[in-house]
Amino acid sequence: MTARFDEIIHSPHRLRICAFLSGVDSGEFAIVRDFLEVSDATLSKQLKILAAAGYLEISKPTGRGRIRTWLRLTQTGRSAYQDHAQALRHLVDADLQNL
Amino acid sequence: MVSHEEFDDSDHLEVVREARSAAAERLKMPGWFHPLVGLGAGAFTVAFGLGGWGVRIPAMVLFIAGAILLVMWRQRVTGLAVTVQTGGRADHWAGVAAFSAMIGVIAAATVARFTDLDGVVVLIGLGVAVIVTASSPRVGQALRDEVRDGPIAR
Repeated sequence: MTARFDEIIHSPHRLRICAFLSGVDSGEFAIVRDFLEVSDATLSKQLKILAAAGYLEISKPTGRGRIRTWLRLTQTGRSAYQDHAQALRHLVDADLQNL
Repeated sequence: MVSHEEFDDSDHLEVVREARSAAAERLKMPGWFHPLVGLGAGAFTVAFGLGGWGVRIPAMVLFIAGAILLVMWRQRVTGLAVTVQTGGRADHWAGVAAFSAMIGVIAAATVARFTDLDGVVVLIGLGVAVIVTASSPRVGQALRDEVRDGPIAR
């Protein structure tokens, strides 16, 4: 893991999305929306940015019942998120040392 | 929750911890989930021990179908899909449950094959049910710990 600050992930909403999804294989749209306490439109906008960067996969498996949207960090997204979190940690550590 | 305003780097790390804790909390199963898993394993053990192949094969199909349905149900209720990480504590406890069930099934089949002690087969099934019921929440707790305290959340 290398420390690399990522402007796409750094936005508070997108960081929350990445952190929430980083511990699981995938999560449902409604669960992530409720966690963020935002509207569908706001979440969709953030998801599109992550998906455009290749960090997120959005799938809508068809089957019985209502269609649920599932979100999954791609391998690229996971790596970018881990590198970003590592960079944050380094910044905080450096701040503490400078106190 | 950390405010969006005046968001500094330590706040960002706090956000990471909050998010992972929230995901972990969602994975909590209701209390009846674990005894149900244990009962399923115990019933399968008894059916496999006491029944002929006409019972064993349907029991296997039912057990596998039940396990798949439980996983699908969990995914539907929690809105999260997770897999146990190889080598982690959840993997360890899942291994304990699976190994106990396997030994129980073999023991039950052996006792039934060579003796008429049906009560012993039922006792073995009960033992499997107890061990699996006790292991299942540990798998869940370890899984939540892995989600919450993964390398990124530290």
